[in-house]
Amino acid sequence: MKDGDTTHDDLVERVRDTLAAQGPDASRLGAMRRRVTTSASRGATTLREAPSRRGWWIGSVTITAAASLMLFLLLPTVDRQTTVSAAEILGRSRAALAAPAAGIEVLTYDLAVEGVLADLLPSEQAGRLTVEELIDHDHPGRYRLLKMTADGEIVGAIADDPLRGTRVRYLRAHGRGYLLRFTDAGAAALSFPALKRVALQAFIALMEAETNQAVRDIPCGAESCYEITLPQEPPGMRTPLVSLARARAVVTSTDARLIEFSAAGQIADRPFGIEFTLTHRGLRTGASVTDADFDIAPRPGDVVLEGNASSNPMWDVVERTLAAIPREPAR
Amino acid sequence: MAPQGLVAARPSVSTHAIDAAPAAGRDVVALFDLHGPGLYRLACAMLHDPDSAQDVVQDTFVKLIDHLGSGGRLSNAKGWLFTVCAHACRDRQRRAWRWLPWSAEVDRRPSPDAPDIGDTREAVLRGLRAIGARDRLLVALRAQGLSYQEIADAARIRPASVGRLLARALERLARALGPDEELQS
Repeated sequence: MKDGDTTHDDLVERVRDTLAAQGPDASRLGAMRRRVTTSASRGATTLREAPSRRGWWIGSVTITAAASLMLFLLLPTVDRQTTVSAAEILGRSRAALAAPAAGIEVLTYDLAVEGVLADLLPSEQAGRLTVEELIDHDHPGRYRLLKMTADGEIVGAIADDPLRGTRVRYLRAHGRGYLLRFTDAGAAALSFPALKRVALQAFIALMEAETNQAVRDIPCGAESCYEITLPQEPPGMRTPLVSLARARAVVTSTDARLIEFSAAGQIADRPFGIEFTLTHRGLRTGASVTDADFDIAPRPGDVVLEGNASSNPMWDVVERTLAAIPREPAR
Repeated sequence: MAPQGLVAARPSVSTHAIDAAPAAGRDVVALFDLHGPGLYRLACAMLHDPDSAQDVVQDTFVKLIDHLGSGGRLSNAKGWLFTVCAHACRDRQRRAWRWLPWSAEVDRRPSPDAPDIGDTREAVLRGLRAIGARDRLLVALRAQGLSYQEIADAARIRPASVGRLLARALERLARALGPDEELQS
C-alpha cells in the first residue's frame, strides 16, 4: 500500500470517528425508530378509523362546498394554466435566449456540474460555484466571467476585450493561480457566454422534444414563473449522444427568461448532471463600466504569462504554457 | 371477526400480501437498526443540522416502505438506503441554497456538548463544511463503509472515477484541515 493511501485511510478513519461522535443520541434514535416502526407496521394493510354515521351530513356539506370551490375558483385557474403548453413555454424561453440584447448585462448564478461535465474541469472548479458574468452586448465578444467558491475565492476566470485587444484566462490549480494575458486579440468567433447560451438552448430543445413534460405556475420572488419538469425516467434507455433522465426549468411568465435549470442524463453513455440557478440579473449603462471591468488582475503569488493572441484562444493557452517550460539540455 | 370501528384501507389486497406485510415491516425495522445511525451520520455530515438529518433518515425509510410495498426489489439494501439518503440530502441542500444563505445571525445549530473533547473532531467537522458538497458526500459515504460501487451509485458518478475523485476530496479535506495536516501523497 502506498503512503498516500495510508494517509487517506487515516483521514477516513478520523472522519468516521468524528461522524460517529455526532450521534444520533438515544432519544433521537428512539424517535426515528418509533416513526419507522409505525410507518412499517402500516405497510400494505393500513387501517384507518371508520367514518362516523352521525356525521354523514357534515360530509355532504363539505363535498358540496369543495365542489363549488373547485367550480368557481380552481377550474378557471386550471383553464388559464393550460392555455400555455410546456413546449410553448420552452420554445419562448429558447427564443428569448437567442434574442438580441443591448447594453451591459450583469448576471450572477450558481452553477454545479457533475459526471462527465465535471471531469472536464480542474478539481478546483468541481462542485457548486457562483459565477458572475459581465457581458457588453453593444460590443460582440466583450465580456468577463468569474467563477468563485462560496467563500468568494476566484478559481477560474475569463475576460475578453476586443476593444483593447486583450484576452485573459485565469485558473487556480494545486493551490496556485495562473494568469495568461494575450494582446492584439480580436473578438473570438464564439465567446463563453455565447457557448453557454447555445448549451442551454440545446438542453431546452431536448426538453421540448419530450412528450411528458409537466407544467405549473410557481411564485419566484416578486414575479410569476412556470416550472417545467420531466419526470425521472428509469435508467437503461440508451441514446447515441445525449439523453435526459430528468430535467427541470423555471421560466418567468412575463418575458420567458430562464432562471433555473437542472438536468441529469447521459452524454455518450456517461452520466452528467448540471444545475443552474440565476440569482441576479441587472443592466448597466455603457458609461458605468471601465476597461478594468473587462480585465482580470493577478493576485500576489500568481504566475503570470503574457503573449500575443492568435485566432485560436484555446491553442494560445496551450502554446504559451508549453513555452514557459524550460527546455531540457540537448543530449 | 372483523374489528369494530375499523375498515381496511385496501380491502382488495391479497391475503398473501397481508401476511407478508408484517414480515416486510420487521425487515424495515431490522434495516433501520442496522443502517439508521449510519444514514443519520451521513445526513448530519451533509446538512450540518440534526433535525434535518433526522427528517432525511425518516423520509428514506418511508421511501423504503413504499418501495417494498409496491413490490420493488432490494438486492443491496445498504446501497439503496445510502443512495436514497444522499439524494434526499442533495434535494434539501438545493432548497437551502436557494432560500437560506448562511449568516451568523440565523445560524441556530447547536454547538457541540463538549467542545474540549475534540478539537480535532471539531476541526474535521469544520473541514467537512469547508469542502464542496460532492467531496463531502464522497468522504462521508466512504467513512460509513460503502464500497466504491455503492459510492458511485449514491453520488451518481462512474465507478471508475470514485477512487480518483475520493482521493481529490480527501486531499481537499486535508488542505482544509490546515497546513500541518496536508496529505503527502
